[in-house]
Amino acid sequence: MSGAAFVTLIAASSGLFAIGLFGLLLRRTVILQLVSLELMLAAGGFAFVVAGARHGGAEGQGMFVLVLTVAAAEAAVALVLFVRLRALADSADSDAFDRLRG
Amino acid sequence: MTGWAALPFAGAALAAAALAVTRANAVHAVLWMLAALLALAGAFLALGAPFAGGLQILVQAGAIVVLFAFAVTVLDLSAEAVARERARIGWREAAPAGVAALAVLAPLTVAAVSLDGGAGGDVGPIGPAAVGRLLFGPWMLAVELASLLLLAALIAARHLGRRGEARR
Amino acid sequence: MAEALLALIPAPALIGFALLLGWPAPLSARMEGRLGAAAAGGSAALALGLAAWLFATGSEAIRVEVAPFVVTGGLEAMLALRFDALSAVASGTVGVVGVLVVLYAAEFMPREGETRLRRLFALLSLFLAGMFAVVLADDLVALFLGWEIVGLCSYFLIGWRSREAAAADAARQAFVVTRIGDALLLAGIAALFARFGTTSLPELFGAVEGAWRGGATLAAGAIGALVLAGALAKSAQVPFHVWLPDAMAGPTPVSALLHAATMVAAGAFLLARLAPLTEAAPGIGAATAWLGLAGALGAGLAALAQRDVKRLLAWSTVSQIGFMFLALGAGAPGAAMAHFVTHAAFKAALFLAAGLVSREAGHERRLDRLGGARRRGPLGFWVFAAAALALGGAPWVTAGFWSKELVLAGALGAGPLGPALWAGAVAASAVTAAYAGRAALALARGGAPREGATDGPGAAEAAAVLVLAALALGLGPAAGPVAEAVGGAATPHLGAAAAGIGVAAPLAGFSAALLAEAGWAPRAPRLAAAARGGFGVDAIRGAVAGGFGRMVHAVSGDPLARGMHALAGGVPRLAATFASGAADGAGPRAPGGPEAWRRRGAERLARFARAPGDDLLDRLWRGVAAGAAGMGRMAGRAQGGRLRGYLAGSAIGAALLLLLGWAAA
Repeated sequence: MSGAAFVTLIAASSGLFAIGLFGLLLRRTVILQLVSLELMLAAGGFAFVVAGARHGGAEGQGMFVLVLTVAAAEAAVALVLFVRLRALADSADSDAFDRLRG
Repeated sequence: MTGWAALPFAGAALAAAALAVTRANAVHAVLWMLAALLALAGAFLALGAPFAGGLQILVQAGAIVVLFAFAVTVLDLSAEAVARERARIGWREAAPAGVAALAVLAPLTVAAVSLDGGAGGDVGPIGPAAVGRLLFGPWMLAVELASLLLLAALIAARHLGRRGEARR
Repeated sequence: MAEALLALIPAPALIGFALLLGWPAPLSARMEGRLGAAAAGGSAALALGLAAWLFATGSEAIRVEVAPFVVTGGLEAMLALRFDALSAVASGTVGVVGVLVVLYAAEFMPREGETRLRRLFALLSLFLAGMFAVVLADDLVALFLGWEIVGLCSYFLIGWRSREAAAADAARQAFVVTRIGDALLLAGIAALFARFGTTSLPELFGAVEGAWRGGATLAAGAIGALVLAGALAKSAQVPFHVWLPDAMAGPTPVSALLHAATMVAAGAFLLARLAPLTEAAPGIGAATAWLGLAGALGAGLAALAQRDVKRLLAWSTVSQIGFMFLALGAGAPGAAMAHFVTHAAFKAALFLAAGLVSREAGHERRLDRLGGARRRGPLGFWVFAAAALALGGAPWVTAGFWSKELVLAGALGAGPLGPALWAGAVAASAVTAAYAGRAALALARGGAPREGATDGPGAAEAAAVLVLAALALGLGPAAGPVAEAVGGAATPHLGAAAAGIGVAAPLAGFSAALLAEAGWAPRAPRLAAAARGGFGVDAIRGAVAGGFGRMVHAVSGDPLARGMHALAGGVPRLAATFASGAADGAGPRAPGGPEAWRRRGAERLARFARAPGDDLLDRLWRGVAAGAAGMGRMAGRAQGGRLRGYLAGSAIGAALLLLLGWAAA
């Protein structure tokens, strides 16, 4: 892979991460925040795979597998929490769950 | 593998992601996320990482998106609810979120550009065998930890999702 | 041979901990106590035996690497132990006090009606193991391991009566305050490693010798300050002294062992151990000395005003460890360690005797209610009195005198500011004698024995306090040799005048206590009043507050306020004169006496408090308070419970961190 392509792709993964962060901050619906979070994790995995391809090692894909594991665990727990919270507060708005305020 | 082949896929992923985080209808948002994740899978294949590409399709775009699909079913998707959601993501909300995201993006981009941009070795695809040897050889401990994490998530999801009256 | 024994010193305590924690069957209370005592005794015997061997053969320090502890990348921390004069003195002290306190606790705690003693003895054993790790460690990581273990045990033991809110609060406070220091110490250790690439003490000292001796740098000062902060927090020294008096919520034997004799002195030990490092760092010695003096004087004055015997002893601990820090800062670690030894003996004796006295008075801890202790339980009283004499430094006959002389000599020899340090230390020494005498005399006061309060000490309790009292009195001749062995140099000798003043200061303090007891208060009610008033301390406080109030008003220059003030103050003052006269009858000393002082002080305070109207200074004052409250509200709003708010915060933080990393790269 050429250096220029590598830099471009890493920048693209940063962009994907930033889009995810933007969504996380913008949305108030819990499930859409989770969508944004999923995109941020995917951006991290993407950067690993790009770097692995650049250096010709299997480590990039290995790290991607680990990131994927984290994403899967996160999605499972987060979504069941979401369903639970929805039953509690009868709302999908994360601002409705503010009883833990200081 | 020149790397440039992955660029169209990356661009598609960016566009789909941008749409995913701005759709008012949650079903559309999840579908655009699916598109972004599939585009990334394409990018992985173009980068000579077939194992990552396959996993991306199977797990990210498959299993995880299915979870989302289930969760979306509990949402209120009536026209009024979608309009309400659209009203909540106007410019007033987008501006500060955009500023914060740009504040993170700017140093990341600067760091990416200052990376080693010299000529790189043109390596062939790295197949599942190499990744497997890595994961089940020197990275054994990490894999075990990951399995522990998945087990914990499984138990937590089972426990939290059990039937019963929701207590306040 | 010696190396093998050295590695085994903490083992009995650890085994005792494991057995007490993990033995599958229930144990009888007696068995629990025996196990704890055996654990402490085994470690103490090993430490003492090795110390005797070291001093008898005059051999050099021995070092043993038990096991690699953390080996990763460039860091190779060994679980290395070292036995030199400093470790010998410290581990011997810890062992002896530890075994005596555990013996005492085995009898004392069941008689207090305490249960769950298995946990207590397990924690005490673990504490001793950690303390041995601290005093024997030859590697910063191993030392920090012990340091954290004793901190953890301290938290659990302060909060021992976990159902009492006060105990839980005190434990949390101690934990948080010492944690701040621990974090700073850890940062110091990390900085040392980053700089010199090793955590092994001998290698570190060699590297420091080479790097810092020539020209000390800012980094050296910063690292020294981090280490000093860790020591200050563990030893409850200014400005971290707040936690120790509240830590008295723990059981009495725990207070004696952890919060008087050993753990809180670990900060002093740390500085003694790292003396080559802190001496090379610029300004750290002076800071240590002055902070130590501030603690010695301030806490001594605070002790003078206490009404609760355990709190008095706690403040006195802060004060005495202040003496150790003073000596350390003055470049006399030998004197500090000599005081460490004698302080451990007399302070443990004081606490354990106070436990007996308090029990005999029906679990009373207030000094003015403890009168008559001599008749109720002579043993507890006499041990307390002897140890109080040692605390006050009664000349020649007590160990405390000799070690305090060494500290004074060290202070005087500390460069150009030495005489100022010395003068402060002499004043602190007089204050020490005054509060020690006051506490002992409060116990000696008349007062009929209470009905049914004939709860005499048991055999183990008596043995423990008697041995400690004997040590508190008899260790004097050992102080000099200990200081020389640790400090490596002959102790400087005081001139006749300085020595004379050193003798006179405690005598003056004791005399003041005696005068306060006898001369000022011939009758019992006035005696009680004086005792409640902290022998004039309240009056002094009142007078200071009144004077300050006058000064404030003079400065603010508001004639109307002044006039109102005088009017508001004049009437009560007139009334007070009458009241005071009436109270004293036609006595010849009607206007004087502590009672009248107190009343006048209180009035001045009240007058100051109800100053009419707001002037500039009042507004300034209230503005500061309102500003603090407003900032608190703002900080509270940041914790709004809303996910997006937290997310925005972490996003901004991430951006800043990235910028920082980019700027640093």
